[in-house]
Amino acid sequence: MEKPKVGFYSLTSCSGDILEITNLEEDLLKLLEIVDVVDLNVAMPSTGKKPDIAFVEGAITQADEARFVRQLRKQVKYLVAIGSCACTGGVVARGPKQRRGWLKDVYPESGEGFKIGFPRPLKDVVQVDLEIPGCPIEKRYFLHCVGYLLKGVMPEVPNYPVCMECKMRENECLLRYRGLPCLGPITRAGCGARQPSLGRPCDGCFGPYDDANLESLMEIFRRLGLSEREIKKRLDLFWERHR
Amino acid sequence: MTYSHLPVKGKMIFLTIEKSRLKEFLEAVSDECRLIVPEKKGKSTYIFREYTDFSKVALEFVRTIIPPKRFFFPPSETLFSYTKTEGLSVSSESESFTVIFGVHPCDLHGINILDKAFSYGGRDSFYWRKREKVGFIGLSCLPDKYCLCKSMHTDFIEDVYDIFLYTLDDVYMVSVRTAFGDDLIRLKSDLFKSPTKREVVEYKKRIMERDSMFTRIMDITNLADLLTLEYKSEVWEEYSRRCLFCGSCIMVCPTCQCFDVYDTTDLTKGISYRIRRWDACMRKDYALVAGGHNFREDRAARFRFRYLHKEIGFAEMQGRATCTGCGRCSETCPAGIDMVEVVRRIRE
Ligand code: SF4
Ligand code: SF4
Ligand code: SF4
Repeated sequence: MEKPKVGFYSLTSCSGDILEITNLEEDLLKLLEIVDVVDLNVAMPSTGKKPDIAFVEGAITQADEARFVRQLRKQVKYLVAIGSCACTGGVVARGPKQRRGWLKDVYPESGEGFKIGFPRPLKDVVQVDLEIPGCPIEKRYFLHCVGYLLKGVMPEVPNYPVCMECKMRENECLLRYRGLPCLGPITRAGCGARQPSLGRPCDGCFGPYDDANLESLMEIFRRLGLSEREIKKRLDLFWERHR
Repeated sequence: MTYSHLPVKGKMIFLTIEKSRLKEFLEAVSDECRLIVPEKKGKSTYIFREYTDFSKVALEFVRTIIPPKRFFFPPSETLFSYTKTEGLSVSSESESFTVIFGVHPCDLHGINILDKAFSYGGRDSFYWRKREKVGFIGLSCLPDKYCLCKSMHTDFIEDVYDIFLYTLDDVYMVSVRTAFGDDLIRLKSDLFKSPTKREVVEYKKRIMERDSMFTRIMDITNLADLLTLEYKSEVWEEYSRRCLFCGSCIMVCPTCQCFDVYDTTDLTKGISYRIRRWDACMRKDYALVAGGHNFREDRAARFRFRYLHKEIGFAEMQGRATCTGCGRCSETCPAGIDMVEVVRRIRE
C-alpha cells in the first residue's frame, strides 16, 4: 500500500512548530516509516509531490501566502493548522494598533512584493479541518492527532480549560492562592498545564476553548487590582483577536 | 500480613500511642507496604504523597488539594491496549498494598460514597483492582472556615478506616476497626497501650471542643426539595455569569466520579490505548451526544446540574447527598464561588 503523503509548510512565523516536529527525533524517524514526507523545508528540499495531509504553521500576512493556502486546500484531504499563529494569528498578530509603526521601524521602504497585511489565521482564508494549537505545539498532542488522521478519523482533542489539567496535577492554584493573573480558566488544555506546574501563570498560548468565560476572568483580574492596561497587556500575546 | 477490611469481631479496640513514637510506627508500616502521607505543598496547601521522611508528614492540616481518591481512581488511566499482532490486552498492573495515613472523616465518607458508586450496577474492576489494596489510617482534624462536614453529617466516621488516630495532648487515641488495622498494630505492638482513665476523659473533652468549633453551617433541611422547586431560579443564571466553568471544583471533589473515555495511538510503537480520564459535568461537551445534540449546552443549566447532582442526583444510589462538606470546592474556586452562599441564595 502506498504510504500517505504528508507535507509541512511555513507561513509567517518563527518556525517553532515545525522545529518541534523535527525535535521528535526517534519518533520522527518512526513516523517516516509510516508516512511519505513530501515537504519539510527546514530539513529537506521539496519533492514536488502533492500531499494528502498538509500541516501549516504561521499566520497569513501576504497575498502570496493566501494564494498558497488556497491552492494547497484544493490538493489535500486534510488541511491542519499547527501552532497559535496559524490557529488564531498568535504572536504575529500582536498590537493591531501599533503594528504600522513597528513595521516602519523594522523594515525599510520596500516594494510591492513585500506588502504586509494584517496577520490572519488560516481559517480566515480557507476551510481548516483541524487546529493543533500551542506556542509551540505539544509533540504528544501532535502525534495523537496524526494517529487519528492517518486512520481518516478526526481526533478527539481537549475542549476544556487548562485548569482541569492543572488540578489533575494537583497544583496549588496561582490565581486563587497567589493572586497571579493566570489565563488557565479560559485557555484550551493540551499542554498538561506546563506553566502553572512551574509556578508561572498560563499565558494562554493554546487560545480559547469553546466555552471560555473571558468576561468573568477579566472581572477577577480587576478585583485582583490589575489596571485595564495591565489586563490588556496580559491578553495582548495570544488573545487580542478574542477581545 | 493477611489483608482484610472486615471489621474485627466483637467490639472495637481502643489503644493509645505516644505522639513521639508515631514515627516508629509509620516507619514500620512503610517497611511493609507503600505508605502515602499528607505533606505541605504551598503556603497553606497540602497534598498526599509517598512517604519519604517523618519530618515532612503534616499532622495538622485541614485538607489536601486533591482527595485520596486519586490513588484508586487516578486522573487518567489506561483501560486496555491493542496491537495488530497481539490484539487486546487489558492492563493488569499488580498494585502493591498501599496505606494512606492522615485521612480525615469527610474524606473517609467520600471513599465510602465512591465505593458505592463504583459498585452500583456491577463492580468497576479498574477501580476495585486498586481500591481493594488500599488501607486507611484516619486522623482527627479541626475545622477551618470552609469545613462543612458538620452540616453534611460527615464530621465523624465509624466506617471505611482500618485504624483511626484521635489527637490528644501527648498521645493519639487509636481506634482499630478492621483485621487489617489489627495487623498494622501488630507490626509494632509494643508501641501501643490501653487508654488510661485520664485519656478517656481528655478524648471526651476534645470531641466536644471540636464540635463547638464549626463556624460554617449549611442548612440542608429539605434542600433537595428546594433545589427542585427553584429549578428555574434566576440565581443559576446569575452564578453562571461568574462561573468560569474551569472544572476545578469538580477535579477536587472527593465524590465526583465522572470520567471520559477516549482512544489514542502511539504511532511509533504501533499500540492503541483506551484511556479514561476525569471528566466534569460542567463542561460544555459533557452532555453532547452523537448527532450533535447537547442536553445541557446552556451555562446556567450546567451550573445548576452540579448542585442538583450533589444533593439529589445520587440520593437513590447513596441514600444521602453526595457532598461530604470537605470544603475543597469553595476553597479552590478561582471565581470565589461558594457552595454555602449558593445554597443560602436558593433558600431565600
Ligand atoms: S493555576 Fe491557573 S491553570 Fe491552574 S487552576 Fe489556577 S487558574 Fe487554573
Ligand atoms: S471552580 Fe468555581 S469557577 Fe471553576 S467551575 Fe467550579 S464554580 Fe465555576
Ligand atoms: S461538593 Fe465541595 S464541599 Fe462537597 S464534597 Fe465536593 S468538594 Fe467537598
